[in-house]
Amino acid sequence: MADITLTNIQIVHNHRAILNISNKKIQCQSITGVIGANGSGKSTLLKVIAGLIHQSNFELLNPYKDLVMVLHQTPMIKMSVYQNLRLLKDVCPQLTNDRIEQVIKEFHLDHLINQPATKLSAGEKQRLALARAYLMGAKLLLLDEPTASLDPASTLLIESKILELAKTGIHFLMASHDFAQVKRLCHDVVFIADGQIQEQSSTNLFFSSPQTTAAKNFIALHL
Amino acid sequence: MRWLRAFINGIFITIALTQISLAQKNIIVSSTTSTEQSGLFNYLLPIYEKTSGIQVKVIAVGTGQALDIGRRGDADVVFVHDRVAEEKFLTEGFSRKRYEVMYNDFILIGPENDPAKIAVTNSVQKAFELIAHTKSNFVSRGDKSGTNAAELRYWKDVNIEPNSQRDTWYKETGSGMGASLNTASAMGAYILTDRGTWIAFKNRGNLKILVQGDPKLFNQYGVMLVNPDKYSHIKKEEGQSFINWLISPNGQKTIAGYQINGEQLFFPNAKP
Amino acid sequence: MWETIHQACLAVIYLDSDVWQIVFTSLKVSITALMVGTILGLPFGAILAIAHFPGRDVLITLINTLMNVPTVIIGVLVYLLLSRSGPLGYLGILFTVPGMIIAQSLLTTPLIAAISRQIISDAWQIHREPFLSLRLKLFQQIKWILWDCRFSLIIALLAGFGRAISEVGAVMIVGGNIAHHTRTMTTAITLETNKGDLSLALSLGIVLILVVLMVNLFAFLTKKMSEQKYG
Repeated sequence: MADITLTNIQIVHNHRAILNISNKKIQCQSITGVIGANGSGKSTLLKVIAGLIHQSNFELLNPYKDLVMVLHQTPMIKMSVYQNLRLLKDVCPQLTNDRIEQVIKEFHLDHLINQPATKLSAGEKQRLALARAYLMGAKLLLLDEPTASLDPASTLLIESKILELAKTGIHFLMASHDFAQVKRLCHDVVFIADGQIQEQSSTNLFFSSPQTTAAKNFIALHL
Repeated sequence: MRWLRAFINGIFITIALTQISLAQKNIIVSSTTSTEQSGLFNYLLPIYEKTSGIQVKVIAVGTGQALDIGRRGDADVVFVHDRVAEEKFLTEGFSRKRYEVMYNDFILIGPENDPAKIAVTNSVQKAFELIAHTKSNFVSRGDKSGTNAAELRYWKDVNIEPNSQRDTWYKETGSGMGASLNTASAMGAYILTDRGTWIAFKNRGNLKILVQGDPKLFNQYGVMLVNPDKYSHIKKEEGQSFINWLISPNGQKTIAGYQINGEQLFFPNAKP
Repeated sequence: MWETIHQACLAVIYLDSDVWQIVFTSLKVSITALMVGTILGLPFGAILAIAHFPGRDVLITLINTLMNVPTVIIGVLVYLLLSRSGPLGYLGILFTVPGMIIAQSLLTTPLIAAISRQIISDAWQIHREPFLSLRLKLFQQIKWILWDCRFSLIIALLAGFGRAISEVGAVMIVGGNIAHHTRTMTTAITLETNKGDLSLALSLGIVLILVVLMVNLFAFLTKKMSEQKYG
């Protein structure tokens, strides 16, 4: 387990404050969920931690050197599945073709290995994005609503993969709006409302006895 | 990526290939559009190239521009037909010697129905007077060419100063002989041209020769080597060799031999 | 007029070697200018689309302007540069094919840069975050975004080629329309028209149109093929 410390995070977009975190520490267990209403700042928080959004007055203390974010939807480059993975050699020169093929098998993508990646189904694309993040040697994976647009079968595939990878010691910080999924996968949750981290606790504790009014309203609305 | 490297190699090879043809000796001659459009160079230059091994590359523009190209050192030899302008070129020091090569004549062309009735006269000055008085359409080169310079001298001789803004019958095209002839043909206008271009011109419409033979219509061609003292890169041996050939008996005979439909276009008159 | 067109079509079928030399010169100059424009214009367009640096907007306005500048102006500028009395006169490439290539490259490069910038900019909206999450360096980002956009970029390249092969102002002034050396289809058409030989001018015009037609056909087929394969 390791902690991510956030100081002075202020993100404003179109005069609307999206994130306003002055000093907070996120404790990231094996699989930690990030929940909140739409527009509460979940995606933005993940992107800030991933380094996709950066401003000069941020302070981010992050023990994970190898952290990769998987976006909600990852557009692939117009080439085959294999080539979309092979491009990682640009950033990880030590990656071998054998390793790439091995991971393709592990993620059940071998029957698609030479297909144009842009023509994969949504579920297959997410598996590919996950495989890519894994190939980068990530120790912490940030997932932004990974199964939100997927059918139940694909969702199951992705979830089982996440659990598998978590067993090997990879940490997950996963945004989700699906309570059932959060209860299934996450040991802890971080609750965001109005751009601020309102609560952090274990999943069971959060849903059974929420501390803040915002949390209480949120749970009531979505039940 | 292999294909990227191959692509770049392809570029260099292509650029190199474009250079290969330059192995042969060559000179640049700036001359006039009327001379080129008469077809003289197409006839003359292959013959010269065979005997001398020198390739002659011709830039054809108006006489004024041809001389300016010489002034900038972008040509080795200038070959034009405007004595006054050529002598100015000499006094400015851009050449050391002027050689007369050949002459032809100017002719006054006009529509078949001849509204100004100039066909009755064989005086170019009278014809110009009639055109101005009847305000008949007249196309002028308006481009500092030898032909244009001659035309302006005829107007001056009869004390007329046509102004294309005030005189709507006077049309200045600012183009070469052929382009101006096209314009005259399209609007049925009068135009002064050299005989060479006219014989080679194919788009005559209803235009005909109306005035010719006046001694004032005499058109002398001169050739000059651009002064190598001004520009060290000037190919003086090859340039002078070309000039020498033009004024030699062989060159003069070749010039006389150029005909279209049995008509001779240029008359050699180099001084021995 | 129909007689002229009829003669022109016959002439196209029985083209003589002079005409082929003219066609070859046109292709030589414009294809090389296209290659230069591609090598310089594509990465430049990509950088303008992706990176943010002071002066970026000025550069974008500049290439958009250059894209539409009349070709004669480029011709005059290059002429003054390459003239013996000019700064690059010592190269001695005025009135030569390399000089014409330089002039046309000044036409193709801004055009390719401007169009590719627009294409890549649109694609970058989609690919920016994934690329950042993969931790690609700038030149790698350029490489992969160019590859992803390759089918649309072919349209940019063909636009560049079209501008080069059909222009007459620059090659006329810089090349001098010298017979057997720097005469291109467009300058030859101008010359033959001025000589009143409209039928020959039309034959050359037909060849020129055919070349441009083939190029556009290629563009269309490429786009179709890419859409089928990658959706």
